[in-house]
Amino acid sequence: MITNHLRRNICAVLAAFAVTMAAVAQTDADTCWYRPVASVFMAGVGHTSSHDSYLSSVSYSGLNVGLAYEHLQAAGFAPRRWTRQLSLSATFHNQRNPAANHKSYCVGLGAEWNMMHRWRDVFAPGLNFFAGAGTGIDGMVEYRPSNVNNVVSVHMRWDISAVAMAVYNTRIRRTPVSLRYQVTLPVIGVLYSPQYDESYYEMYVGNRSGLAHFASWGCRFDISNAVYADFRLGSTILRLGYRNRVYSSFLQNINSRLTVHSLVIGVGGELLTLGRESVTKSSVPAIY
Amino acid sequence: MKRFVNITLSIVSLLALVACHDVKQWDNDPYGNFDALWTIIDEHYCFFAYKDVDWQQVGQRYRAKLSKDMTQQELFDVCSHMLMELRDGHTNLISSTDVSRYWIWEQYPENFSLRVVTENYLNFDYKNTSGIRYQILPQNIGYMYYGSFSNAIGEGNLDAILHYLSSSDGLIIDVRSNGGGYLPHVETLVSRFISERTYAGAISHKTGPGHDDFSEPYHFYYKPAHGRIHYTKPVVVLANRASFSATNNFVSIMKSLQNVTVIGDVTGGGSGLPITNELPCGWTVRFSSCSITDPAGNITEFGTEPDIRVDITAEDAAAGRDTILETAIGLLTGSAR
Repeated sequence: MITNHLRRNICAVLAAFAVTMAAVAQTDADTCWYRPVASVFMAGVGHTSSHDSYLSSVSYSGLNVGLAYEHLQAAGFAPRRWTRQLSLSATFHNQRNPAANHKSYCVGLGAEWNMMHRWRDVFAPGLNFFAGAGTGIDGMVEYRPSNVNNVVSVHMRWDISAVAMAVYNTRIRRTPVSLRYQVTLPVIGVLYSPQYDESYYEMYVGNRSGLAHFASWGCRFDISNAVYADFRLGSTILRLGYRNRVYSSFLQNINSRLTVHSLVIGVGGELLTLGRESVTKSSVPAIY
Repeated sequence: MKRFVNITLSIVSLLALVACHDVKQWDNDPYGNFDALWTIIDEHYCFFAYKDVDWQQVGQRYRAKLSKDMTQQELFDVCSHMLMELRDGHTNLISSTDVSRYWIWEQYPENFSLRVVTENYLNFDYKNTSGIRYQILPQNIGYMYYGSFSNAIGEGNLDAILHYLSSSDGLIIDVRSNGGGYLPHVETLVSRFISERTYAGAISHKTGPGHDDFSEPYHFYYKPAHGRIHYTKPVVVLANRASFSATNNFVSIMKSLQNVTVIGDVTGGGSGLPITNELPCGWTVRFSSCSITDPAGNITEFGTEPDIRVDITAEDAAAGRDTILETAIGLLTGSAR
């Protein structure tokens, strides 16, 4: 159950977030813009290692595979200065213990929405910086077939994050290429966590109190990095990249760690919806 | 610039402090595996105080038996004997070649033979669904044998069983040698014998690594199965020492009901809810981490006493008779021996 203290913290954060967004949202109402959508589907594969003391005292490691979708578009209220980003992801981890005699399976789903201010041609032509904030939810269920009663560990979170991105637009031979680095750092939010040795049977018989917790850097640190090279072949985007995530939490005396490295390949395009109006518009790409 | 450096250093310092908690790691050698096992039990086991076990002293005593060049089997034996000190049937060390166990019920009279019941009381003529054998005995007493709470009981199957047995004058539920299984199945079965919300016990879990770090007991209740067939006539539950874990839980809850009598031996106990952990070498350890009390507030880790204590006598056993079952039939027909 969410405590009053937690509720007050969440309300204060939401209010601050809304005020900040309103203050910086200066519209370009006097200009009409086309706002093409950069839409990319990605698949990734890599290595993951995890530790969850609710499940085991030893760490597991193995393969991770994932699918993701990213949608970037200049914001309607100030297209030249603000960019919004929507990301959806699904991951699967197949891990083993160090002795390689037990397996662990993990399925995760996530969604993030970010709004970033854009600074064009910073330090060098073609180098754009983005910074802003966002919110995201994700859920992850880890299953250890060899366990009893603590056979699964559920991780759910809702966060407000700081987001920053650098994009350098250049050409390799005659092909436009955008090199991009993005970092996402959840700052505060809400985490689901059972107590130390609390069983799911106890929740089943009705004790569901104290499962939601206020999350800050004091109990949880989570950072995601992504490096992409987007080759723009006409309106088609071919993406090669690398992503990692480092997660650490210590809550209810439960120690959790997760490190994910994955290589990413993606394909997508810059899509534009044309209206019937005859007004001449300029185009504002999402990030390029 | 100085301000920028200060801010950067502050952020880096902050990040260095966040969610910082070491992950304990042990070497994969005899000492590392032993220490891992000792620490896991030390931080998670729930009955140290109840059983008055000095775990620190136990650890020192068994650690002295280690040597760097001991074999895996020798290490397994030392670790197993250390776990025996907990006197807990839920505690097992599991390797690829063996499972350590404290199955004390093996040393008591078995007090049950499924063959005798099937041959001499059911005449090999019984129905069987959801892992439950059932029939109406010639004395017009219903009989059902449930051999494992790991077998899921379908509500429809239970309706069929209780509908079939509804014409009987009383019912015997035989859970002898039922080693337990899933606790939700206990509720499924009990909910057919209660007519109102019924107190089923309290559960308390470890909240931290200290021996006294426990949550407040959470009191939980069972509800009658809504819209399902119930059995409201007198019931006898048969138990023996091998009625363990979830079965011990079932017996203790049924014992608290007004029209239920428990006959047989003390159950095997096992009132702790076990969880699993593992050692660097890949061995698995299972142990109790949550304590569940019965409706009377007792910890039944060492068993639930029956209302009527009966053992199968040597002469009955030789004659193919089940003294405990005969006592139950006698009680329900009003002609107790």
